Amino acid sequence: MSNLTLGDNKQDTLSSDITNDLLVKYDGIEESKRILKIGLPIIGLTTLFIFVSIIVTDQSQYMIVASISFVLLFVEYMLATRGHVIVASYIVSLTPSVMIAYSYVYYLDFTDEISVLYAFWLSIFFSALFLPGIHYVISLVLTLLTIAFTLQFIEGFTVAQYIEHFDLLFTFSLAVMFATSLFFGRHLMSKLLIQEVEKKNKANKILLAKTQAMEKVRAEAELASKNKSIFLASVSHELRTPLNGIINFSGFLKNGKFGEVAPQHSHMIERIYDSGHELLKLINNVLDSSKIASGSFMLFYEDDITVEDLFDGFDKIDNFKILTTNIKGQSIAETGIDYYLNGTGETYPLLKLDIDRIRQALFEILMLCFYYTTSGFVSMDVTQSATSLIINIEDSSGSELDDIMPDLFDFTKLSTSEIVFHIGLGLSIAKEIIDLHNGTITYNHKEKGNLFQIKLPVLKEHSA
Amino acid sequence: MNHPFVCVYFEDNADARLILDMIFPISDMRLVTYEDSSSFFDKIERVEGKIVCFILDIHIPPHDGFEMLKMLKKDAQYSEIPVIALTASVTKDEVELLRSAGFNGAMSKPVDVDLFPKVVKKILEGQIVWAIG
Repeated sequence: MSNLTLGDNKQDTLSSDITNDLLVKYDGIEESKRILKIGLPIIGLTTLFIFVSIIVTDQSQYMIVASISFVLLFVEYMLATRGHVIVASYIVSLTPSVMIAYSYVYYLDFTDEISVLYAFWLSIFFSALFLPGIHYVISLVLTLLTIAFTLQFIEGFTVAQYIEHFDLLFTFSLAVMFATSLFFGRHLMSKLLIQEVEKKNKANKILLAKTQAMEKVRAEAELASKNKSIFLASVSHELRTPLNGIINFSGFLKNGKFGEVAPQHSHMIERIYDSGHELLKLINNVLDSSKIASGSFMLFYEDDITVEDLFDGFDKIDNFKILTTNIKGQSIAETGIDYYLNGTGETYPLLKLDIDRIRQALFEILMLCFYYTTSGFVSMDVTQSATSLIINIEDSSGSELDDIMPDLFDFTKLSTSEIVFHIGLGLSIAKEIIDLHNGTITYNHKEKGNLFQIKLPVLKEHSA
Repeated sequence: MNHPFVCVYFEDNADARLILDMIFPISDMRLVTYEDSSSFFDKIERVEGKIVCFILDIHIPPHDGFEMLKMLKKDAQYSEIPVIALTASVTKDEVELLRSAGFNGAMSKPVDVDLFPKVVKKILEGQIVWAIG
């Protein structure tokens, strides 16, 4: 249980790390929200101040300009607070052009035109300044173009004339306009920022939920895999303990440690001994297959292996009859199958490979051939190409494995009716061993039986 | 006594003890077996003859193989004597634990009776042998 608890804690820590990574934290977001909240009252008050100034100074001709300004600001605010920040910003940038066009159409006093123009020109410059990236550039270009276009219709416009017609009220109004637009720009920027942050956080929350769900599935799978490993380790331990007695006690009897055994007992004792070894091999294969499944199946390469080392003991059927016999409960000697090993006497370069694993692989394939062969022969021929050791394993079984060939080396796809479990398991391990050596195994059905060809690029003088 | 040297074997499984009894003597070594690890040092000190190696089962009460190994390696009198693990736990993780614990070698159960004497001799010569199969 302590392991489980540890696992859960680990998961919690991981999730909280993900949360910290994903959620955007912006320190100014609260300030921005506050500005938004008081934005409308301030804009309203500023515009009201302009109206009052106009009335007090009795310059009623500005009333319409101020009204349009108010309406536009309000529309912009409404748009901005409802998510159309960019649209609102473009309206701000086009406001001065509208104002100038209005002034021109109604033939206002020249001074007024200049002042209104100047006020809005500045206001747009500063409000547009707060637009993000490319929108700022577009808005500014649009504004300058429309102003330049409108100025063509104002006769005799010069900077000197503006200075000459300096007006205190307008300068003051201009300052207020300037402050308002600056504020409005800040306001738009805040709104935009909040929207972006919230949008990002919303997306990240979905992502976070997905990540957490995936993490949960992963943790569950990990736990299941861990439990499976613990189970397999226990099964292996619990089977090996009694096998110690079965194999060794029958071995002592078989070898006459307690005196000669009667012939009718001798066969049974041998069967106990052989079956014990078969079970042990099966347990080892189950553990190997579990390692393959978890990707922890490792090779231990050795240098300078000779072909004689590799095939040591493979020359005599007696040396591995223990296992082949058990497939059918009948010794190969009794079935009369011949067995040959050819080609190991030739000269070969030294090999670099995991000798125990390659021997295991060869063994498994021979097992398959002996399984299918009822009479005739099984043979193993060793040759070489420029880079590889080539091993042909052939039998006279007459069986056709073509139907199951695509799945022959993947025991999970073989049904027990097609092939016995432990042979299927052994073949998939053999395939893995050959693959890990960058070798290949191919199958051909021949007229009289099966032919497996194994190519191993393990010749040392070529592989350096 | 013909066999002046002693291997001490701690093993709770009677079959396993009997099997090693059958394998010994190896050269001039005889085997002394104990079926649990209680009063650990009392048991060792009771052994007659010179102890040249310990063979430890791993899953044995009350002190498991790892604890016995620790006790031996801490004791000046025994710290230089090779300790062999004899275990039916042979998965990669379990073998890794044996290696990192500091055993001088390990053999798996079922015991390979032909290989066993060779492995013990190699370990006594100072080699570290992992005969897990």
